[in-house]
Amino acid sequence: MRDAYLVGAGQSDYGAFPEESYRSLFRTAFEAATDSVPNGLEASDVDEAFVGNLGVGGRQLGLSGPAVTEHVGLGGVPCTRVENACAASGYATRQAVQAVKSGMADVVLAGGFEIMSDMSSDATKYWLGVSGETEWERLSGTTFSGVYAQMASVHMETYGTTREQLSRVAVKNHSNGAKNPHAQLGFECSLEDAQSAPVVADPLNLYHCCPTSDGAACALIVSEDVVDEYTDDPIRVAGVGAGSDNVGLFQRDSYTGVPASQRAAETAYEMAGVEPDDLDFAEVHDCFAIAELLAYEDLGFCEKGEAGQLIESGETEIGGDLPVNTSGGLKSKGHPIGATGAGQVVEAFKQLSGNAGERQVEDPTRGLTHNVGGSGGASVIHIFEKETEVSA
Amino acid sequence: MTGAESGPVEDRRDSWEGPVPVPTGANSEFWAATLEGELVHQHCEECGTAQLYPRAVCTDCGAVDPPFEASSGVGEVYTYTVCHVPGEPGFGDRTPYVVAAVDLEEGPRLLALVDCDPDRVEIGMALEVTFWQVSDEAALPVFVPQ
Repeated sequence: MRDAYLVGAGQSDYGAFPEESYRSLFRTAFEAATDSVPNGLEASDVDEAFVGNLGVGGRQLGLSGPAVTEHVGLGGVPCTRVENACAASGYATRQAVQAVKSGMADVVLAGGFEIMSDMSSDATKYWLGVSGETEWERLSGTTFSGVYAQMASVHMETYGTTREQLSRVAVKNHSNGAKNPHAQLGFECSLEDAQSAPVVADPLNLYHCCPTSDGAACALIVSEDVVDEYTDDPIRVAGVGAGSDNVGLFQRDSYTGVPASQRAAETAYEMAGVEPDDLDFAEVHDCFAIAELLAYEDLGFCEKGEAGQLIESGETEIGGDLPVNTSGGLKSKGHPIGATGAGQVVEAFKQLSGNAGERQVEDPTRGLTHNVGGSGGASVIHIFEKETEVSA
Repeated sequence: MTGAESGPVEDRRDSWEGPVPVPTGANSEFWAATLEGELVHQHCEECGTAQLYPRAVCTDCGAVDPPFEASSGVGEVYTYTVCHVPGEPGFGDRTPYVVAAVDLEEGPRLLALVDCDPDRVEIGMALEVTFWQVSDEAALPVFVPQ
């Protein structure tokens, strides 16, 4: 199979934008992505597109992919809308990589978008609920926060993880997000703020939960045959892994880990021929604070049960051994469901091309993105690697 | 079905504003039983696996249409959350309320509302099933401390 390369990526701001539409946000992301390609890339170069979107609110549920790609001048190319809840555009990225590796396309757009802010709170909760086990979880009265709260509850009971450790995830990610101009909640928060916020679903409080967001993100994946046209500093897609599972948490054996992420990580590390120690940064799916801690363990950043100690150690802060969620993560940067996975790739591209501004990790060569759908019904991981030797 | 211990069924059809089950396919027998105050689960005749929610096949051996059997309706809290922000309409005036993953005596796990003081719930707590009838076709299993 051919190698695939990430040559550009960009996003809109994440937030609440009543004056924007899904098309205008997608245009912003697409133009940011093409503008980021070192040697330039035209819409007419794109052979195929995969667009992630959950469809919150039910607007343009049919053909939502072509609806945005036609808007940015990609009319005519094959376009597929990818739906895997919060992992939609992580999976769109994987589809793009597959299209390139298979030889069917040379330049592929992987994008995503979501509009979530123009609905009532009840309607938003309904649309978040559709990614749970709609028949059996929703009848119990649980919310999406309630599902992750149950994971937190078991992790705390089993491993002694504390509420303070959960709050430290929020403090770190807000500190990073405050350095990201695209972040929705781009302000710092104190440990005290993050511990004293109102309870949403015990043991999770408001600072343990990410916001709902409007936003779009795009990444451009190209083949080894054409990569030299677009950049002199190629970033290779070194590893890809994905997995699925029972949609309902109560149907899984494990509440203290996400088996789909564990499977995805194993596959991605093996393909890349690397280990967690070889990573210089990671963007992980922190829809809730407990989700970031579970990711530490599922992706092998620490031993099972030790995620609480890892966040406390400071090693996942910028400047630590393995900075996690330098973008601010879902918690601070925001979580426009269909855009989130591609948005993580945007951060990986910025870090690896040295354009992450105040939050730049020192001279990284390799980073990982980890995108989860629902409470773990789907998970997808990418490992991106700078090819320093090749360009030297 | 034999050995069923019935739980009380409370008629909430007039007041319920929450989600309503839609009995179809493999679920039909489960919801029909709830109207009689019975909690049933599938018990595979081939391999003995006990499962909920009802599926077309046994999750372990793949045997088609595993038959239903009555559960005692007794279980314990595997884990739980206390929702301070409600789910859909129907739960709004109940906050804070308890949702628990309940491990039934027979093995299957069910996620359900627990009708009790949130300060009282703890992991391992013994529960028994009751039912809230929310439509002509179904009653929701709601657990209470034993």
